[in-house]
Amino acid sequence: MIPPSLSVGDQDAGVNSPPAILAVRSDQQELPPGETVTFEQGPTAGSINATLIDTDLGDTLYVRAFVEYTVGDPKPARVTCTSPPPTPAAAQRSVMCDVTALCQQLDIGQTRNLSVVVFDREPLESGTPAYQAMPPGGLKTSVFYFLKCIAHEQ
Amino acid sequence: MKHAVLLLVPVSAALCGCLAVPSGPAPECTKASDCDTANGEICDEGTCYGNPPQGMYAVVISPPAERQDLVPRELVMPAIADDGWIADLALQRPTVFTGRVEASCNPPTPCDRGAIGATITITRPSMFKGGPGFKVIADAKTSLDSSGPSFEVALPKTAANDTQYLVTVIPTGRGDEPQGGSPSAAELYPPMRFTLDAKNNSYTKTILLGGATQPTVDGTVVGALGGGLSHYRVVAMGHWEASSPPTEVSSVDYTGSDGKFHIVLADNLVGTVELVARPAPNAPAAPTLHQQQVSSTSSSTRTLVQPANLGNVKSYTFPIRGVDGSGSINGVRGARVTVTATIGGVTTGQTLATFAAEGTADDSGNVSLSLLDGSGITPQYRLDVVPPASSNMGVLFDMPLSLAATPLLLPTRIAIRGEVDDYLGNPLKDVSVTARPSLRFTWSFPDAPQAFVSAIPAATTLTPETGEFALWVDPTVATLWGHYDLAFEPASKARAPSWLRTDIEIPRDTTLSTVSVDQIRLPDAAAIRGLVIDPDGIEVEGAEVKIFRLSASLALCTEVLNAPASCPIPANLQGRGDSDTAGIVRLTLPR
Repeated sequence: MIPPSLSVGDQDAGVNSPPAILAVRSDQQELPPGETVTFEQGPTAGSINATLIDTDLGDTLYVRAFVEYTVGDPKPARVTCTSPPPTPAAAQRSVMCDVTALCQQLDIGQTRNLSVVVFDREPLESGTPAYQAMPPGGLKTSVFYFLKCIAHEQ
Repeated sequence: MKHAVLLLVPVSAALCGCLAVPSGPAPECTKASDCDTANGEICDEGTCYGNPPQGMYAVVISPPAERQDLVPRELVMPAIADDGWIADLALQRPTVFTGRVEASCNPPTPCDRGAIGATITITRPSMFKGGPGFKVIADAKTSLDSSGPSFEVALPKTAANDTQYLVTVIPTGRGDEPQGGSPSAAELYPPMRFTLDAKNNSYTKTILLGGATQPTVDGTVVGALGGGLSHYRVVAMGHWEASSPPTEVSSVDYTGSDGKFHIVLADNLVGTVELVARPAPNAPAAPTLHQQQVSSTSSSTRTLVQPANLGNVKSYTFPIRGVDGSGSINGVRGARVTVTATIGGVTTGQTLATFAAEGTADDSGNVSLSLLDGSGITPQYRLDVVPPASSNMGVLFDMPLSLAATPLLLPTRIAIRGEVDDYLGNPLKDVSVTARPSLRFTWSFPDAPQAFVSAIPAATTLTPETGEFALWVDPTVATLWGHYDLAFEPASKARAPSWLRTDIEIPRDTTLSTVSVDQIRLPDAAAIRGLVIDPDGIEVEGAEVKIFRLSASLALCTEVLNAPASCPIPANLQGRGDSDTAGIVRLTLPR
């Protein structure tokens, strides 16, 4: 008798597991969810590093940062980055995202709502919710911050 | 490594009945002779570690968030052995800075010894040029208690020759509109800044805000006909240091129906300040009023006058269009549209008025904006449009705007195409490729277009099996031809290093739709590792280690017109990793 395979596979099975954001780091510290985070506007803004987990080991994960995104007034992502499946396969992975465009001129001195969202299917060009719609079965998770933007050095 | 390819035989998969994980690449080595032992490599964990590239490096170690008893550490020129072992990845205990924020006591006014709510920002530049530096933001609590600390911050200790910390204290309650009831701390006291040494294990300070001798600015915000304007938030913007960005350096005030305001300036400012009166977000659209060249060392009285003939607020719809790949004209969904206007001059005593309205194009590519329709402002309108990063449509910058609802046709972006290969010349799959404006390009612009270029979302893509990529970028912005950096980041844990190809110049040819870059061959990766421990020698899980390559060259800043005075060229991040449960962190460096 041949026992059944218990393979977890590297392709999606029937049930998709949601991706999750374990941590978001900037410079020398982890950004605590729900707190105010400060970024410089411009080319010295640097990057953030997102530590992600997805038990669907073959999933590519798509990270997007949205500022002032609401259902009534959706805005496209200001930061986009993509995390391919790790090699060798692992549930946990990390991705660097360039945040040069996170802060814009009109944000300086204001407090904005910032959502960092991870999708396990590539967000579609159209569909609802705008800029966050995915093919059927796609899942997403997000973390929220208050964003404060400061001007760059003179 | 000797570049031997070992075969992984998936015997178990054929037999079934076991837990199989997705097959990964074969181990790089199984014995020492698979590695380049002549240059120090060793075989461990199936990886050839060692033979790190020569160069000047710096390491930044950051503790996980749950280890509040540890602080980040910078190591310049870490010792990396031939076998790839990074020495001394030890995190350190902090200096604990505690204290209270109180009002200074100015007799005969009765002293209030309650703690004032404030945001405390503590910064220190990096020990190496272009490094991330240290920054922590803490809240000081409001309390009626007259004793006990209202804040506590953990800081890396300063050594003998280290730069001191800069501590900026900003009283809370700086919202767009006044809080109900009594005035907020921000309405009563200006921010303050001081330096701090952190050589000892702990440091305690009572921070006193306000003072009897601080300069003030009194004044009125009035309409063109002289009547007071209400619902304006008034503050002074200024500099703590000549090279620092302008920030709020005064208390805030909110105008009532008489338009009057009174603000207190911080001590020890550099140069003059600028008064800024901004209308409340929920008030009808109106310009923000500025007055520059206001003394920061003596008290003064100023009047900010709203320009005449602004007209009424009216909603306008603008169709944003572009030519897609098939040649048809379509709406550009998600395009960010900003309309600005500047009225008046910057001469001392004059009021400069700025207006901005922003919107995002809907699914049809139309955007609606609330604008003023008076003759005093409509000729001054300028338009910026930034399409989403994925779009092949380009930006518009500082274009004159007609309020007629004629479609705004965006230019077409140019594709940067190429192929990413590994060091052996094989196409590399799953490499994240990002194109961003280079520093040379960005710093060629004056301030306003520099901010605009920085706000264009970076285009990014993932390479398929063929290693090919195509990224849409703007060939020109404000008549300047583009230069772009391409950043390559292989998959997490991959045996390929992160890599940066800098300053790719867009050819000055308006007929081109594609720029092909040479084959990008990522260098071989040197695997290195180390053990992250705490001061007791205990392994630390979840610490982040970043390794930067140091470059002393600041030539770029002399070659461009508008580089910041401090020439903040970021150090080149070459590798990054998190420590595992045993405290081991593994990184790769490009050879």
